[in-house]
Amino acid sequence: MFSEGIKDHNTFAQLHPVVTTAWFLLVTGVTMFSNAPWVLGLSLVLATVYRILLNGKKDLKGSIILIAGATVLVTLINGLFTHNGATVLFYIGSNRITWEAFAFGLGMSMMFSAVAQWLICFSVITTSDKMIYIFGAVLPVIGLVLSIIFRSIPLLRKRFSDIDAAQKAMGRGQSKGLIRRGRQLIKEISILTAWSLEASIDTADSMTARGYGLHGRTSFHLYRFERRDFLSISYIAALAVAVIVGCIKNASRIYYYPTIRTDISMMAEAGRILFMTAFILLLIFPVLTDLFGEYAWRKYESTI
Amino acid sequence: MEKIRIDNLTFQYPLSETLALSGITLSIQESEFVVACGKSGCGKSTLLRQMKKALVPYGEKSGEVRYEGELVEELDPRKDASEIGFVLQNPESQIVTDKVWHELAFGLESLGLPNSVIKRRVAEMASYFGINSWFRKDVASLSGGQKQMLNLASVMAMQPKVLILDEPASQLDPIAATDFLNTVYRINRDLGTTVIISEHRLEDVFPMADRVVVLDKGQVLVEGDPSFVAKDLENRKHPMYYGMPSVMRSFPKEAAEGEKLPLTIREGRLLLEKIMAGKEQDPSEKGKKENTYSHADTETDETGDTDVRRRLKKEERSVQVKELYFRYERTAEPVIRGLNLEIATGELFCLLGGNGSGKSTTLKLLAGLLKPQRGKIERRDGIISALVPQDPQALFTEITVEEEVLEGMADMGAGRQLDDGQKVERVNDLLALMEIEHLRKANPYDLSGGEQQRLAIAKVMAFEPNLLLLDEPTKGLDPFFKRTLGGILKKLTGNGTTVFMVSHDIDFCAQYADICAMFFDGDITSLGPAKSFFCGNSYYTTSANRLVRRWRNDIITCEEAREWIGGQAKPFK
Repeated sequence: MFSEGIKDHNTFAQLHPVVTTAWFLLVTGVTMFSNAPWVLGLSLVLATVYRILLNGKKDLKGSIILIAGATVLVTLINGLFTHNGATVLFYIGSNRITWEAFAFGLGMSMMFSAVAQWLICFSVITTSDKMIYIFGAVLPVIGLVLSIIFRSIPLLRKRFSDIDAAQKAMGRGQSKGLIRRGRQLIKEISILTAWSLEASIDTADSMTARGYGLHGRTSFHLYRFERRDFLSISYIAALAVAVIVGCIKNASRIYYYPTIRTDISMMAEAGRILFMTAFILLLIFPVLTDLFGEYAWRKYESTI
Repeated sequence: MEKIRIDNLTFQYPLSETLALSGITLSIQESEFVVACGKSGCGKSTLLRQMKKALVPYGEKSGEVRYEGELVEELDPRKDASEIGFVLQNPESQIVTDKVWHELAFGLESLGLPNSVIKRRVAEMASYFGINSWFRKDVASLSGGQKQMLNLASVMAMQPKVLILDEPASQLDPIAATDFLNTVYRINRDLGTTVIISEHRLEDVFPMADRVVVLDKGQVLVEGDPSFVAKDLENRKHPMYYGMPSVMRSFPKEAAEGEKLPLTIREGRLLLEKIMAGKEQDPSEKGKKENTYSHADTETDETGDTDVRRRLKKEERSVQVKELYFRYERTAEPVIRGLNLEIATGELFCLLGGNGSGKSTTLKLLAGLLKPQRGKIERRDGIISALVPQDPQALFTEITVEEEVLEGMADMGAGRQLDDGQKVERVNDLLALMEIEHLRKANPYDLSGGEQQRLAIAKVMAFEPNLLLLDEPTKGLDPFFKRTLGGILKKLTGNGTTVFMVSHDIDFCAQYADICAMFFDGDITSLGPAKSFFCGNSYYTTSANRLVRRWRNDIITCEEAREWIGGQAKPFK
């Protein structure tokens, strides 16, 4: 099961799109506005775990490349180009290279890679339908535009392959030279454009024939807000209060410059522990939901 | 009750010198099934669009069109959207959204209905049209027939009182087309929805029609029940008669004196029984009849042989295909399984078969677009092939017809360069050959389907291929364009060009092909000269053959049937 990944056939993905989207917004938001290594580290670890749970073992390699790449790149750039910080490691020319700048770079790279990992998870969970629903709920026309775009991609791809085949059958496009191939590509794109513009007249007719442009358009969807969605959103909301208060009180932040200070929180020890507990409970929500769903399914299968 | 009333309607497109519609007066009753027919460009589409406010084209208009007594241009847009449904020709480009369920809901969303109402209507429609199993699918994964059915369903979801369809089945294969048209008929019968449909495939819609309106050059030529219309056209010797269903055309008006013309094979058979009833007693006639029958039978036996290989001499062959195997993916089932095929030089070879039988794949293999995994395609030296795709638009790059043909000569390859004078001459020759000289300055996109098809052939012929590969060339063409195309293909084969086409169009192949072959499950299952090929089939044959095969099995085209029936009917009278 886990080697292939569970994709979006999982319990978390079956929740109402509002719930899953709210969860992703909250988690990526907190990650983005934090710079404390313990917050970022936790976020990064769980994002990676969840990505591998969703997409399978093959994404382990991708995750490592992403994290390692971001770490090296961001840490080096910040370390070499930022000269703030009190602890000087060495000089390049007259530029100070400081320990704090490297540390800040490391923190930022964790932040970037965690957000990237979460976005990958988000794209698995939030299929095109959900995206359309979410945007359509805000403004119906955006939902429709997205839907048209998702419709056009396979259509244009098919048309392009038809054009390409037709041109190849005329003996075009097999020539080697870069310029000739470029010219052929431009020609094929121009055919695609003309054809698609022509076809879009039909699409426009079909839209107006079905009343597009009338006042007060609604946005249809197939989602229902069920009891478990209510329970989930309540769980998330309760944790969100604790986490957001923690963030406001700087429990998720440290100072990197001029020297690293980790004691900037305006909260008492208990408050910080509460913040971290709430954050952990929030982060493990999808993993827990999915594992529980998987367990329930296995139990169901074993009883038949 | 009168649903739509058109009074003395005249319409002219801007910058056009001729009237698109002139002096049309028409009244369409509640729950009527009206078929509008006529040659391409006769004004059918223009007329249909006048009945839907949202689609009325720009132009100069006089006279009036009323829907339920209200002028169409003064209709409330909401009423226009929901009560008058309109389905267009192209299944692909009418679909707006990415999911089947969303497309079904599109019109209802426009009307601003709440989610619960939409859900209920969409559920009703999905059940009525049998689309439950693909309700949540991506529209990109549907077949052409399913797409058009979806377009119909999403219009019907708005519960229109009038349904207007502009050549809705012309882009579909015959099975999907019949299925679609039967659904339209069912809507008319079950729900009482008024239907106005324009269509070339009159075989299917004539038996459904209450009334047929024939348009010619923007005017109503004749209207009435199908039988009346066909007889009237025959009396006037009007070219539109050629567009009538072949069962009707098989009976000259003398043969059906005092009777209604048959609309289906069944009715045709019954009428023929009547005509033949007197004949059977005549011993001399009977002997003659048996004679022809047994003759036809032996022919069938010859081609009914299991060995479908042709044994052509090497110099006659253009292409030889030996034990070809092809699959699209390693794990997929082969699409082509051990295909053997020989094509002779200068013949018109038609490959017939159902959807998904591998016909188009065979064509791509012959064109060299796909490489076979096993087996060989041997071309005679000097064979240059050209492929005309199903959608001719895939070829068009220029802004005028003549430049388009000229562009076909760019990139001719080494040793075949022409100077400008030769090129111009060749463009002129090809335009003349394809009978599109009068359109030389037109934009390729402004041509009708049949003209585009011919321009596409001209364009690929420009680089002088001697093997022309055509993918469904008759798709969407009206009977007249088909006839022109048939003549052109004959001219090409006469000049020594080999033409290989895949098609669903039985009647076209019966009339023009030299060799027909039936493709099924990755291989050719029967093959022969057009006549013996269709005589040997019992189901997959022309309607003329199905009509008269009890008496004469060697008749395959409508013209032959007509001549024979005419001959039988005369002494009877």
